[in-house]
Amino acid sequence: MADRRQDTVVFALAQGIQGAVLAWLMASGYLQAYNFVVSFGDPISHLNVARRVFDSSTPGLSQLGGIWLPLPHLLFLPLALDRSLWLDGLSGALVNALLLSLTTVYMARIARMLADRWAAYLVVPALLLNSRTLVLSATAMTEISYIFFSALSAYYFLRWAKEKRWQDLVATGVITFLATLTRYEGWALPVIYTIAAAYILFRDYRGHPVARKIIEGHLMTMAPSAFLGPLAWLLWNAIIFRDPFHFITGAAAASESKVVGGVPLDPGGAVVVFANSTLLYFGPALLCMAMVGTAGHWRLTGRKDLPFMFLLVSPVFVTLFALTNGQASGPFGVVDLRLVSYLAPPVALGLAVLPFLLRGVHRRRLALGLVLLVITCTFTVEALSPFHQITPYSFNPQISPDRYLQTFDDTWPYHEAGVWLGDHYDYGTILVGVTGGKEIIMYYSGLDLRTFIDNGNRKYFQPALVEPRSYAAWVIMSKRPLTVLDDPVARAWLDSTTGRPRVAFLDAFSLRFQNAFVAIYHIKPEASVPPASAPSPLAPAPLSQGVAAPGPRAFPPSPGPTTVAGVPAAPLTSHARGVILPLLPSESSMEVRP
Amino acid sequence: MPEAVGMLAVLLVFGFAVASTALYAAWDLFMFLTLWRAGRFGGPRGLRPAPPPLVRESELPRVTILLPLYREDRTLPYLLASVHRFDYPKDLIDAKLLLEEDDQITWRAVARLHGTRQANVQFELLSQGLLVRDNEGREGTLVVDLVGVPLGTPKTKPRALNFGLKWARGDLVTIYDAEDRPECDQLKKVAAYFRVHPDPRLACVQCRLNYYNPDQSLLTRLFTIEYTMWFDSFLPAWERAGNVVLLGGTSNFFRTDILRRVGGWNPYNVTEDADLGVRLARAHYRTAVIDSTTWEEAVPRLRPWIRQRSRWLKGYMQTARDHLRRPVAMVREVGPWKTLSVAILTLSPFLNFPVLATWSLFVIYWVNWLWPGPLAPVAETIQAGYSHSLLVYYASMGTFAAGILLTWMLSITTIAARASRLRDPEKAAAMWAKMKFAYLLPLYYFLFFFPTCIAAYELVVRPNFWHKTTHGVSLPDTTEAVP
Repeated sequence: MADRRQDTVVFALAQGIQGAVLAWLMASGYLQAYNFVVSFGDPISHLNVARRVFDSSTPGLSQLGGIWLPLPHLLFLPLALDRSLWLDGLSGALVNALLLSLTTVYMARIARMLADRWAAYLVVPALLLNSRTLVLSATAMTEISYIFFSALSAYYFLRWAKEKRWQDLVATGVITFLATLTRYEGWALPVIYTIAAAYILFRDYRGHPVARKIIEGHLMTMAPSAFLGPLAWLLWNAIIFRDPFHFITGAAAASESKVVGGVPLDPGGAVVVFANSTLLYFGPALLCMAMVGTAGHWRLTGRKDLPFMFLLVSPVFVTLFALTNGQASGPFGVVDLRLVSYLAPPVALGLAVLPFLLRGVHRRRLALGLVLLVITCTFTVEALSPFHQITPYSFNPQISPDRYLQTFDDTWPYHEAGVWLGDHYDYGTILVGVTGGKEIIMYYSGLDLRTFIDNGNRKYFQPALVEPRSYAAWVIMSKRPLTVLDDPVARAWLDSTTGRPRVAFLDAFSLRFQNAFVAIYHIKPEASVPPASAPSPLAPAPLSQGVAAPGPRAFPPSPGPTTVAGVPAAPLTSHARGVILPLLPSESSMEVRP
Repeated sequence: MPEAVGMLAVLLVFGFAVASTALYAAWDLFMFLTLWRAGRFGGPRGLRPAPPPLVRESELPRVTILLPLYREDRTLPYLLASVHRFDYPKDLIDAKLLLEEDDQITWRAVARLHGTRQANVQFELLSQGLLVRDNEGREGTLVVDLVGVPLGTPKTKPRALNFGLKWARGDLVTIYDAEDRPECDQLKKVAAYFRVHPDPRLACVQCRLNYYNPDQSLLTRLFTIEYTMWFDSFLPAWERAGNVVLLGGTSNFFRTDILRRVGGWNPYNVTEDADLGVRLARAHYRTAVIDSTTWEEAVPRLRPWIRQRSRWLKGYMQTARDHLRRPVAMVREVGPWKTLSVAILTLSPFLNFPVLATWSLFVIYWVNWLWPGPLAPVAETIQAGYSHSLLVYYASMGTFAAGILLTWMLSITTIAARASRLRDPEKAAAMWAKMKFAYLLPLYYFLFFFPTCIAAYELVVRPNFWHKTTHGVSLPDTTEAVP
């Protein structure tokens, strides 16, 4: 009964803090909607992927997948149904804020289970006061989903290790399945849980005559569910792309990302990047304290308890593999704080168990002191590195301008192009290869995604690359030297043998906008009569009720559906709905760069 | 003409998809609501715990045990030994061996028992019946009445049971099949349950059934998992949710007066147990499922399995035909929820047709997608069929995936729960060892297509034909209850 009361106290406390934090996150997320939350490529891509499931010229679940794992997008999807929540990024931020709140609940329970109620109280601020974690939760990123599912699975696994209830083992398997569908770091969890469960069972049943059957039965209770996620993902890739390893070999994976700067690191370099990122994410003081707490806890509990760090830091191997394989970003010397975000729960736990280690000390005072220390350290880290910098950047001022939003600077031309497109769009579909920052153009144009023909609409995209005038009234193309090779539209424009531009490709179009990164072409009025065979020539984009919907920036009203050169414009949806099986492999999935 | 055939095929695919998806989604939803309502999703906690058998001997009821046998010479001594082993006063057991008059095989087997010692007991044939006593003579002598069932039609087990019911002297009546091995304290547990639940509406207590030969073949492993799921997880939750319990074939204990009042068993239904469960509910009686197990023999080979399963499915179809032909009357008698529960279960065999057919379409389509070949024309028809509606496509996919995942979850949780409750490490290990086979259960369900076809055919052509299951193929060496 006493335990239950204490749990209730912990729960209430966690809820209270979460409520306040949730409110802060919502305010923060909303205020920053125009200059940060959706200022760089990844959150925009995540939001667009979720939105494309129903807002696309080929809608359906096949829009999920490709490189990114699908569960975060499925979580964002319900709120992305609303245009305003999609365009200001809250459809992702709200989900992340909620998941972070739930994470603190389960972290408090883990801390209670491993130590005492003071640890449960302390782990909540230790987790939530990390500004980088909060920033991730205020954007439409996928890290928070992973943190939530990994913490949840760790809670059930640790409870199973302690109480040996089969229900916890089943729950571990199911939740690990979900974790493996959020981020690739999660693919370490089935392996680590299986090894850990085998070790615990072997320890418990050593010498028992029927040990093998019991261990096997327990592992079969959990492991197949846990491994089902990666297997299902391979199957999905096989069905959609005819290649189970498409997420490794496909367009936006490592092999292609080398073209635009994803550089494989040697093992030493990978470790340095990882260490730099970890130090910058938590700061050296908190990191050292957390390590002391973890080691001390393990020693104090007589090493009978499984070291929780062992479970929660297991994705380190995946991260190092990704860095050495070029799947993660950046040349040597660059840090990427998102790569180490999953360390936030174990570090918070390591801090939280510190009062538990110091017996005989007034724990309430100690806990309060630790909270103050955490706050101080966090702000110290803030002073060293602004919390905005969760995206890859370099320490080297020669490479990185002395500004906060270096990433924002990198993507600004795409913002500009998107806003221009939203302002000047009149009619017709838009041909675009979704690579580099072009998701940003689509997003900042404020146009419905079904207006675009892109990689995710293979049925129209492939013929449109051959003869764009029959399918599109607009063409968006990369200009930036490195990204040209990555852009299928630009590649289609270049002659494959001579490498020179094909005149016929764009002779029906005139250049209407360009900046350093992109060029936007519009069809010439006299060239807009489509061939009879075209499925949807120059169809007007079905903007919401004929009026351009409000985007991240204000746009003038659209003239609405019009006719071109006397040809009545058929609505795009006449061929886009009801004839395509998005999940059947006739359509490809969106391929975007993670 | 070929275009018309093609169009017809496309429409057929679409029709199958719509029908199966709607039916299966409804079935899934009802099952989920039932388990949710019972609050017992995924575990045997819904089992009503059998009270400890603390009833004084003077308060124990007389129990009539009906043992209907037909061509069962191999299992006879083991069955009688199992009945003798009941921890129950022998003078309160009214055991009756129900033998068809023309069943020379079993009559001869009975005659051969005289003066022999088998299965740790010895037999003596006297004028008042067959005497069964243990070798040491410490546990008393059981008298088993020999009842000859007169020739007649239909020659079915329920007809024999009805004949035996006429001569029943017990307060409770129960049935055991030839291959049954009930737990020794089962009678006392049931007696205690009736005593501590003096509900006049409680007509029947159903004990769990399980198999003692799970490791004989892959089929018996899967069959055992299915049976464990049914009796450990599903049926208790089903009963707790207030649904009509379709009784298992044996180990169901009826109050004799109520059983006579509702007219006994229906001799024209090949699953007379299911039919009786519905009739009890329609007469406003209820059934409880308790935590005591009778071990049976799972058929180890495919052909007899198909025959046995086709009889069960045909019986469910007959039950649906008999009770749902006037649905309004049934709703008036038992209410809409219970009517729905009967419909869901008894009509489930009919679900197998469209559901399995639709699932097969997915398999064909994806096999052709990954390895294009001779299936291409069929795959194109399937794609054309589904292209009529994305909603149907996703719903079909969803029910397909949900069906597999729910099957896995229910089987995993059932096995884990049962293994965790077993105190004997050997028995627990044997149960844990079954876990890996739970993942093959979806494949096992694909086998249902064949018995469903046979059942549908026989429902029309020979509705009363009883596929006899051969017992004693895997007799255990002992009469001990086997986990």
